[in-house]
Amino acid sequence: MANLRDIKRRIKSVRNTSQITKAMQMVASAKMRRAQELALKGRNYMSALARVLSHLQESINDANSPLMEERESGKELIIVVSTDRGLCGGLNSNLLREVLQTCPQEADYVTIGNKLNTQLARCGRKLVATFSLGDTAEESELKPIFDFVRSSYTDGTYRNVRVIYQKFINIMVQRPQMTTLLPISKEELLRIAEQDEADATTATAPNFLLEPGPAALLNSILPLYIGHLLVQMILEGKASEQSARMVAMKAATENAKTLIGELTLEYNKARQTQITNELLEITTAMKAME
Amino acid sequence: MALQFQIITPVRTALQAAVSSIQLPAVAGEMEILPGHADLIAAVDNGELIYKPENGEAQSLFVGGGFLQVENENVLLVTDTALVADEIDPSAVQAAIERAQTALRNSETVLGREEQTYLAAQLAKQLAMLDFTRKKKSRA
Repeated sequence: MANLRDIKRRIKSVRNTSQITKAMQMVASAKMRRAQELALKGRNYMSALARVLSHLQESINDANSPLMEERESGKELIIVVSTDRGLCGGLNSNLLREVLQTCPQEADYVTIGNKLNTQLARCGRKLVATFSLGDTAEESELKPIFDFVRSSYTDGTYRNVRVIYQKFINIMVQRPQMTTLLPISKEELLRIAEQDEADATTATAPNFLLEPGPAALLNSILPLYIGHLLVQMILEGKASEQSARMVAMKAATENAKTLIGELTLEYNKARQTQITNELLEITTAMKAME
Repeated sequence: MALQFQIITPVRTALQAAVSSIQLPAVAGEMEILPGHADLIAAVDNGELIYKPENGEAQSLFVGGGFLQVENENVLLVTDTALVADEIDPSAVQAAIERAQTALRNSETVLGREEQTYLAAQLAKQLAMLDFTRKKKSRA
């Protein structure tokens, strides 16, 4: 029978842990609301941008922006959007599994969030850069990432750039998803544009006036589009992280509660046994004295 | 016949309304969109956008760079910033301008060309924003 004091100590430590997990749950749920809102609004913006862009593409079939150029040679670059902190359930391990299954061994990897760095390195993947972001993903923090990606693509080092991230479906479900960032493909644009079901007019492709010229328009809109596509995926990753953490912490708090219940029961039993034993001792002593 | 006007920024849908005219700063020059406009895609610069709701007073907004799409009386403006005058804090803008200016002045040799263009673009945007608030104030 466990010592009374030991049980008491365990109850206390479990209670402390549950207070921490409870606090983390609250923080995560507040952050989640914000991140979720940003991600959903961002989707809206992306689809609007893609709608404009998909029209442009129909108008300018043979424009050759360096960002649309398809190459045969060169390596692949894969950007893995993980998290900076742990305690978010199976989010990162699911992502890692997906990366290991779907991404080629010889590609170069960039991580955003450093939680998966060691695992990727252990699996023999080559990490070329890693970036860390705050909760809100400010523009100034994102710029280095974007510059890195764009310059290493335009100088011909890479054949394509893909991003793998946890897409935010709802609070309970996040799904790893792979998206090609560069080169920009027409199919991809149309797919994003179609996600916005309110737009039924894309089927007819009227001739648009373009101002200033097609080349100038395309050159200014493509970097913007790519930048926001990347931002969007990072925001989705953030929303997934916060909701996964919230769910994980909620489960932890509930587990702690059950554990405290069980331990309290054990504690009471032990205490009762002790009392019974003491009574027995007293009565035996009295009997012996008679 | 009114135009269906929508402004979308990364953080919100800034405006969704039926309007009878829109004036905005396109890259190629000031531009006005009226009902029946031909289908158009145009690059938009920093500056003041004035729209007239179907029945009401003309309203103005500050818009950052972006793109405008006119298609069958549907006007869509995709921009990084869209703010009404009350949402802009002139002193914060002023501070941002000074920061950008010093950064540009002090580090011409250190910064790469891309960073310089980025900073210059930021500066232009802040200056346009300041200009917008001043104009608003003098009118009021």
